[in-house]
Amino acid sequence: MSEKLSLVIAFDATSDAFAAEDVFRQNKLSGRLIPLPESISAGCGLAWRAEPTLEKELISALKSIDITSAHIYYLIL
Amino acid sequence: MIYLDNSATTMLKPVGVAEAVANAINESGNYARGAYTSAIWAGRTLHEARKEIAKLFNLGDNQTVAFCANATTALNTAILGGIEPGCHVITSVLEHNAVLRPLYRMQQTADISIDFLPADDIGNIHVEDAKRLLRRDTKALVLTHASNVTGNSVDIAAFGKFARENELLFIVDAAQSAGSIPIDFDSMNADILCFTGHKYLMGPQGTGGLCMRKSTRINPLIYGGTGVDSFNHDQPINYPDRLEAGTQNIHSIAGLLYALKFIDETGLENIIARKMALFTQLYEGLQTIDNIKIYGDLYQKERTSTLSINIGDMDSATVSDILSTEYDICTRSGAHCAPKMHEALGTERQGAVRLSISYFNTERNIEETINALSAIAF
Repeated sequence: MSEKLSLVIAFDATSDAFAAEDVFRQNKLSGRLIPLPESISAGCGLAWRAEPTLEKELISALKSIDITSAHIYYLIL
Repeated sequence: MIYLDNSATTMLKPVGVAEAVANAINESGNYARGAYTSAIWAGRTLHEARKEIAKLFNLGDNQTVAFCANATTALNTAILGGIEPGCHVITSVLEHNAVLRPLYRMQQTADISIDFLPADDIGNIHVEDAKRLLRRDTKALVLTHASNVTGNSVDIAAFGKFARENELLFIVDAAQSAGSIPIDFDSMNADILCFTGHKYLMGPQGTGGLCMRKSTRINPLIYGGTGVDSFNHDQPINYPDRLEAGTQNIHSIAGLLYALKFIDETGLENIIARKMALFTQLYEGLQTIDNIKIYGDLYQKERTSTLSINIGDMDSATVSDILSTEYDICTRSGAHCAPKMHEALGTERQGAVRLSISYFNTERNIEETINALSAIAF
């Protein structure tokens, strides 16, 4: 599998990860939940992986459901 | 069989609840334990259930639902984890042991003091009494939304206003009211609303939770794995994760989700109207029978479909047993885990026969129950 630059969003709570998935799907923003990469934080959890070009739309969707504390990363995955 | 112990648990669930549980057993992995298909299935199910609860209780984006096993677990979490040691707490004589026993525990171990709002002759409590009991060190108010004995509702909005004005932590026990009385979390001014899924929300046993603002601080009752932040010695700091240690009961929550969608599609107002029509049929029928005493405020605008009675001075256990063995009618006798309510009603020895009606009871059920009680009372 070829590696490429991905946008990864980490959340403060697992419940936020599923709320985010829900709002991203409603807004037809592609991506998927992945295990939280250790380069962000060791110790498990979930993150959202998407195309880097979607950053603005993803942040806007999160704000619409009052998730303002998500953390954005760019990783080669 | 005529089942009239719905305040203990609704036995007849919407068709599809059991199938939803069975489907979850086949489909669900463990919530927050991975990003593979079945774990994501669990997460989506839990998320959908949070959304349905939020819709039913009108929660906003800054409020959340933490799931747990039942209302008792929710109330223990809220009381033991939310009330500060050494303070004064106001509660009422209407309360269930799920409220009383955690408070008594704190009285023994955390040096809190407790005062009880009294009930009037028909089992209602009044905010004027709360004003009278207020002290400088009062920090919390814990009240049921509806008595599990009389079915009377409490004017939660008035008590919530009182709590807000006096900066009290306001914990509401909605075990009986959820699914029976409309709940608007914000207008209640409640800090924590505790509910169960298996009574009038008509979901499976083993489901319940706390509704709260994400900013409300509650120490966990249970410590353990959450699927995140594994190297942290403490529970995760954010809610609801902080209160959801251990494997969530996704199987039953899937059933609860189905029941919540049933309530949404049927319309809570239609469910309430149906239950109250049957309730009116019951009490009007019982009022015509000599020797039957009915407890509570039957004419409240909002109340649950629960009615407690006695026949003369007969032991409530005897009446309930005759109803069961001779008529196959299921009722609850005794003290209903609400000792102070029975003391207030003067029924601590006799107890009472509780008849509680669900959406799935019928006019025929009520008619046969009236006839049976009439025969016993004769």
